[in-house]
Amino acid sequence: MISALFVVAPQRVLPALLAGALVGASALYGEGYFGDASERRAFRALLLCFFFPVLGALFSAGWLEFFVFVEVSTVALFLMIARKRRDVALRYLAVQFAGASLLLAGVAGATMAGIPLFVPAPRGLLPFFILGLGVKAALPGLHFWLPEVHGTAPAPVSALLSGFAVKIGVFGLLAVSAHEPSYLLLPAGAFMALWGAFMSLLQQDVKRLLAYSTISQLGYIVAACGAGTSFGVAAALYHTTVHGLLKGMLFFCAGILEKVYGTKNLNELGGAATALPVTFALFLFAAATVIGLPGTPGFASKGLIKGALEAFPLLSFCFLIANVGTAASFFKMGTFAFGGVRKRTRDNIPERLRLMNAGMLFIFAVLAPLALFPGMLPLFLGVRETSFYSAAKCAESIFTAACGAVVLYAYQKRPEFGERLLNRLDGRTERFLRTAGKGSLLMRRMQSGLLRGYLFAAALAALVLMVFFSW
Amino acid sequence: MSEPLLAFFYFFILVTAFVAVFLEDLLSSFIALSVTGVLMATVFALLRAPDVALTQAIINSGLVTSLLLVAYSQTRRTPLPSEECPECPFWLQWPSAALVCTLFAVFLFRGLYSLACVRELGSAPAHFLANTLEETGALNVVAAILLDYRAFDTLGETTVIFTAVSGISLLLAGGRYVHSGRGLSFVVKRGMALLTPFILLYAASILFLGHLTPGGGFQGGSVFATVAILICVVYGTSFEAARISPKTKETLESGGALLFIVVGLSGAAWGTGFLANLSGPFLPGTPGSLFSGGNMLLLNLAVGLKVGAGLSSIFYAMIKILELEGDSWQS
Amino acid sequence: MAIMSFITVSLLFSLGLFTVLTRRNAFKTVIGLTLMESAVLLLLISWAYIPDGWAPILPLKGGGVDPLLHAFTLTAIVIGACDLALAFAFIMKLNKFERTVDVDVFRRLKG
Repeated sequence: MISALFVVAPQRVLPALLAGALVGASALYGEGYFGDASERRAFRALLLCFFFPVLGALFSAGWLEFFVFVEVSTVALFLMIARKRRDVALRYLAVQFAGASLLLAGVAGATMAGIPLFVPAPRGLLPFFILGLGVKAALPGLHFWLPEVHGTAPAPVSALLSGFAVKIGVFGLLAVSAHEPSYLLLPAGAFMALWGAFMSLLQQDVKRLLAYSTISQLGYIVAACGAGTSFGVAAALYHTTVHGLLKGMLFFCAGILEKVYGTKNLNELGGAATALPVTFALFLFAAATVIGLPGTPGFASKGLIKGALEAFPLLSFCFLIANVGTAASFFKMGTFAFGGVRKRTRDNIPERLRLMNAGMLFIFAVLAPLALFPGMLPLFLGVRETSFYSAAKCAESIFTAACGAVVLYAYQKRPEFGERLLNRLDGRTERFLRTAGKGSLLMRRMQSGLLRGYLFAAALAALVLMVFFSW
Repeated sequence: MSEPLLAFFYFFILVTAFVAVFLEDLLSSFIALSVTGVLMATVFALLRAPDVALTQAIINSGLVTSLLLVAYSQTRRTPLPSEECPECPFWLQWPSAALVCTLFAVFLFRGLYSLACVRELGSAPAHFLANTLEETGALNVVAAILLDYRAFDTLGETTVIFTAVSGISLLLAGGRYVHSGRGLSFVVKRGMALLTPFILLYAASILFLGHLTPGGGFQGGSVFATVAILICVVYGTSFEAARISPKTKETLESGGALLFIVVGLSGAAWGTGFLANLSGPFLPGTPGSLFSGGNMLLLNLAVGLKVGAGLSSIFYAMIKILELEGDSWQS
Repeated sequence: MAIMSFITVSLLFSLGLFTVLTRRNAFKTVIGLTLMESAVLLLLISWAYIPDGWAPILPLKGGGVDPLLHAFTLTAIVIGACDLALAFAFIMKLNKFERTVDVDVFRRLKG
């Protein structure tokens, strides 16, 4: 019976390895990040509660098991966030469960039709799946929860969220899409990439910058899914792995900055290059990977994605622009946080810092082989790509990085450029999230303690069941 | 079995039910509820279910109404809540509830309608009707089902009664019996004294002849409990407590349960099985005589003891608090 | 004829449900419960009736009605009376605490 529930395939093993690496690194990092012993214990326990359902979701054969495991892992993440900020966690849970209800409708339809994972779903059910999984994968319009939640969660939890939880949504999208170009996912991916890059450039809060950058990179992955070929699927999975690992590393770095300097505001950070040398070196590696400089795994994965999207030149151009934006925003993070005048630090405790750096080093150890042997992972997924380091590609990536530096320099000259725009856009996103989170208030109001109210709900449920089954 | 007569009774059941629900005065609605119970008992009798009609009349119309009145008199000092609730949300007001209930009735009827066909006896009931005399020696098929074929379920039912009695005694514990109460007037007392032996005889006949005619342990025990309630009302609590103390009632109740289990275990000891009747150590006797039906006589007695003692314990526990507030029956 | 009893049963049950949902007096809630139980009993006995059947007391002079459902109904009546008695005890006890029989006031288990 177990063998009927679970399927093992290269497409599923790769995300599972990603999850394992992230969880291990988070465990190491969490030892250093959380000061209180009970916090550390709770974090370790909740990490396990997150890890095993995720494994179950990745290897499940049918949609029902996938759905159940994914929602259990969402609850584990909720508990992790709630230990720090309960209101944000409740909003996260409300939004995720709203999406889960839509996904459940799709799953119910697919289970009744007997469709397992990785078989395209019938036409009528597709909207439910796209909307439900889109909430998890932060598709445009459904992404409003991501900046706040990823920005205010504790650093290791943000690493898990950005590194893995959104990828489950992408995994689900892969499992449900047909093998033809999807004219929904392609423009959505391009929009996400541009929007994320643009907004991350304007941010002052280092974690929100990273959160918007997650949206941007997710745009790459979603567009690669939408390309419809098996090459596109392999590219998407490769970038998922690379991005998951490096976003984890970046959030760990942000957490170290937060703990050492006591603030997340880029304007108040500075001079960490000399204060935290190991962290700085690892940050350089991670930023280079995100930008896609040659010699990093990000170069190879972005090259694969560009190859998958060759048939859509307009989209390729959009992604080029997005790459420039990404480069600019990470240059911003680097110069603000690590360069410049050295600001006052809080008392940093060397042992804790060592543990946090150890977490980052763990991820570096996983990423380094990918940098040295870029063709290994695509081969694992069944795609043979030899020309990673062609001259054209190297030139392209260095050029975009240079453009990013120029953009940042220009932006620095007029720092108030994005203030009002940023406040307006950000504010709108926040308001939307707060309204969505009010769903939990409605549930609170329904628990009035009135006996008659509960009986009415029970009678109504019985009536709905009677109507449903007699029709 | 005329249909217009049944239709008449059904209609009046609905009318009295409406009255019971929508009357403001609680006492009148209790009486309307009791009338609904009596009408239902009549319908049961018309539908050829004499056992059930008897049980319904005694327990639902008689005993439950008297317990209802006792509970009401305990709480009559508090102001009655009005039925309007301005601050309740809209979905708790009566229009939406009426809508839900109407839809419920419609779909319930639809579900039941799909059952309506020519009724035939199933295989188990046909077997019971055909073979009860040889297999149990009793004449009342329903009693045979309750005390022989499904005697284990009856044991469970007595457990339910025991749980209810324990729960009520636990909830209403902590009061003292104030031995006061003068009872009703002299005429009523003398009249009751004349009537009581006959009521007791009636109760005993229902109980002991339960395997021959409609009746049995539940019905007979309930009438015994009714006698205890009557004596409480007419003569005052102190008189009744002196005659049958609460301790005696507890002993009788537990004795009934024990008797049931001992009878069952004797069947097990005989080798056949728990609660074995004719295949155990019990004799069928002559059909139609008092000592027939195997262990059904003893089981009826056990059930009657339990039900009677249990229900009068419930009554006694409920009026305990009444006496505590210095009340008497006259007011 | 079964249709008649089905109509009565549906109406009686929904009347009981309506009472439980809309009345604030706890005794009215008990009345509603009683009506719901009575509806079920009526359904059982009317379903047990076979046309031109005799009451299940031997010797039968013809066909019989369904005695198994009668046994179920007997059990149901007794258990119904027990749970109603327990409900009365609850109302009396709650009345001692809150000094009212309004079900909207009993909200200790809220949340």
